[in-house]
Amino acid sequence: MRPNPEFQRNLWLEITPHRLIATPLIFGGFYYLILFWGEQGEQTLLLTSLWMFILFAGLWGAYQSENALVAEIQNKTWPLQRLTSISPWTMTWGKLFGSTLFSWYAGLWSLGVFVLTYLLAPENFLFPRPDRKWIMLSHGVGPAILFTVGVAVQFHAWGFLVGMWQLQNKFSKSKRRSGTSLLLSLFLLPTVITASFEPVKWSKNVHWYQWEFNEFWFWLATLYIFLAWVITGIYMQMRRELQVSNPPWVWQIFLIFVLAFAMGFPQEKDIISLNGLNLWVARLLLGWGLMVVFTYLILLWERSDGVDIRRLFHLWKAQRIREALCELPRWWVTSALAWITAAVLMTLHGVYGGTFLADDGEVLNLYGFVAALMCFLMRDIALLLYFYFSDKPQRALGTAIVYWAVLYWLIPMLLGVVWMDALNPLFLPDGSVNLAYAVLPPLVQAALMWRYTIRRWRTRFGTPAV
Amino acid sequence: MSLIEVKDLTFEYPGKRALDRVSLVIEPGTVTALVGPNGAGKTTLMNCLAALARPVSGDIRIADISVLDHPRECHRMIGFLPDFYGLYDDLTVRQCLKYMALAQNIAIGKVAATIQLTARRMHLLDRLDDKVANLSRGLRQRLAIGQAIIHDPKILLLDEPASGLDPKARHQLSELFLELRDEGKTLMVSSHILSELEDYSTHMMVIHDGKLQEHTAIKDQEIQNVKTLVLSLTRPVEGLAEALSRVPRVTRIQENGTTLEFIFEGTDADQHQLLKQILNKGWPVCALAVREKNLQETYLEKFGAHPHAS
Repeated sequence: MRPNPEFQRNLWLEITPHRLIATPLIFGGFYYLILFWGEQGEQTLLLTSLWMFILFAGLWGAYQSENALVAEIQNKTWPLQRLTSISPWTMTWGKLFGSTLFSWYAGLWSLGVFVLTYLLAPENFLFPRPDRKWIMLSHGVGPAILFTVGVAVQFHAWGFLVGMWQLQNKFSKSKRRSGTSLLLSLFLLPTVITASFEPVKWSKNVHWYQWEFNEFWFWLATLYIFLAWVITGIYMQMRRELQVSNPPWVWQIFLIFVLAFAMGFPQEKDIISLNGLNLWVARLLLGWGLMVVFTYLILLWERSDGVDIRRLFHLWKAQRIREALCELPRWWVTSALAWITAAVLMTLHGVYGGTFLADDGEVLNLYGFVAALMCFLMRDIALLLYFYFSDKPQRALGTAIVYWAVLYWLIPMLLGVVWMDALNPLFLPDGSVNLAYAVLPPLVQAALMWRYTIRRWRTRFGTPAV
Repeated sequence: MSLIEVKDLTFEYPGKRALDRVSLVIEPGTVTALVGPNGAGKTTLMNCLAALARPVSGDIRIADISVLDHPRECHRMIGFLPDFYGLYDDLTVRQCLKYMALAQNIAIGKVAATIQLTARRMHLLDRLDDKVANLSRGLRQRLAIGQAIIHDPKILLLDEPASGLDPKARHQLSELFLELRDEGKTLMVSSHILSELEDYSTHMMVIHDGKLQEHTAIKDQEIQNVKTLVLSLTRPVEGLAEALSRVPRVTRIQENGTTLEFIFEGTDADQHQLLKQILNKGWPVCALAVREKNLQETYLEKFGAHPHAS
């Protein structure tokens, strides 16, 4: 079998003879101390070894995978790699698993200790109440390993994506190594730990559409399905980096998958709190909200400077439609899907009726809220593009974030302080006011912002490329 | 048949047009000196040719394959040494070469032989087990070029390959490029130090402000029988320059003590006649030689100190 050169290179760099020998010695000594420290040695060992696995394989791996690509940029070896015959997929898995080799090596020693302790220690000592176990261990050691390994790879994959984002947005040129993914992982860690170590009853179930699943298996499957999506995302991004065009439909399929997945969660019993909204309206409301969130996420992820859009127009004019579709910014597709779900949502709401209540019992106008939010979304897209079309597009994202913070947080807060909450619909989507007052202010803002943005585009990029 | 064909290539960075409708054709087996001031667009052009950057518009074909449509196929034909290249300092020279051999899809059975061959060509055989971090600047350059040519590419793009090298290393680099040229490789070498290009270049391409100003064969003028002659005397002779200016085909005389330099347009037979005339006049001539036109002169002759002055 032909070795993956990228994995092989990482193997040379990461697994040195020194590390190979020293790691088990250090871990062995550490765990030996824990086992004979205090009275509940086995339980402490079980917990510590799992923590160490998450710390080493998970957190440290996320840091390593994030810097896999960032380090190539800093060391100026990335152009060389891009010119090789390594395929995008080989590069993806070679970097993702190669850069984390040492963290896996160190982590697997801890996982081994964990498994041994679990198998050898008396179970009634670890779990005094047989009907309650940690959620992760509720189905035995095998599924527990599947879960923790899945979480670790998920961390790595997200770390890698963060590295690719830095590469795309040119944040990777500073000499410092980035710890963004480490921070993100630390932020997520309490959730993972709580979810993993929470003592639960064996029989807890999840309802998804009309089906019922065991909670552990459902979330385990979800973990791996979304891991597959994250790796697909890395692979698609890697293709772009290696100048290979991406088929335009992968992102759409992902969005539709997310939409279908999320819409399965609202159940009849849940929507009582939304007071009589039709089940499918409630599901679409969630799906539409997610599409709006994804539009913002992709705006943060993807650069859309004037040059890219100019290239797109050029391809379109040259009737190279397939290539133009491949170059289509993903926020176009995502916002289009947000519009489609909004339209279907409002139509269904019109058909089925029902009221939409706020927490305080006030009746909200769903049409007004959805339309206002969509107008704000369009205004925000125009605002970001306005900065991207400026002389310094590299600052566009940061500037837009500041403006969004002012518009969505600072001004409404100030209005609240001076008892002028009635002006809130000017800055926030509000379903509690009449339809015209909810929709007109963001509509005017969106129209004005687009006018300015198009004018700037014409001024700066008005001359055709050819 | 041309090996590289570029048509109406336009590349933009946000706020700056780096290449403006550049069109060019490069024949196989040539060595093109890509010259121009800093920021002229040389590196961008190389990045586009190497399929590392996507232009706004235009077309690039290498051996009739579209670089934009099939970048990975083109990569197999190209070796590229960027201006600021990096090496894996923690690996040995052998590991670096093995990595590149595997990365360039060289058959497993041929990897060891390829490493040996490349190391021999780059004079790195005795350094194979040295850590890259311990190599000198010149050796690092050799390794970088070795990595770029390990898959025996048809085309080699080199961006400022001699920057930072000492005179000996520069000379070795020139020799290497001559070897590669003789093997039939097509080279494009970018530099703003023209003197380092003249030993091996067959063509000169001048780029300025993103526009292609000139693309000619360096020897064109010699083919057209235009040469610079240097007449050396044993002692200065008064009125010699004036007398020489009356000789047909002689122009632009520059007198400097016992030497006179002038442009002569004519065949070898015409040059023989000129020498005969000079000797018949009884002037104290000790030599008449053709001075090879250096690249810098050709460049300055056409574009002055600033190429856009043309």
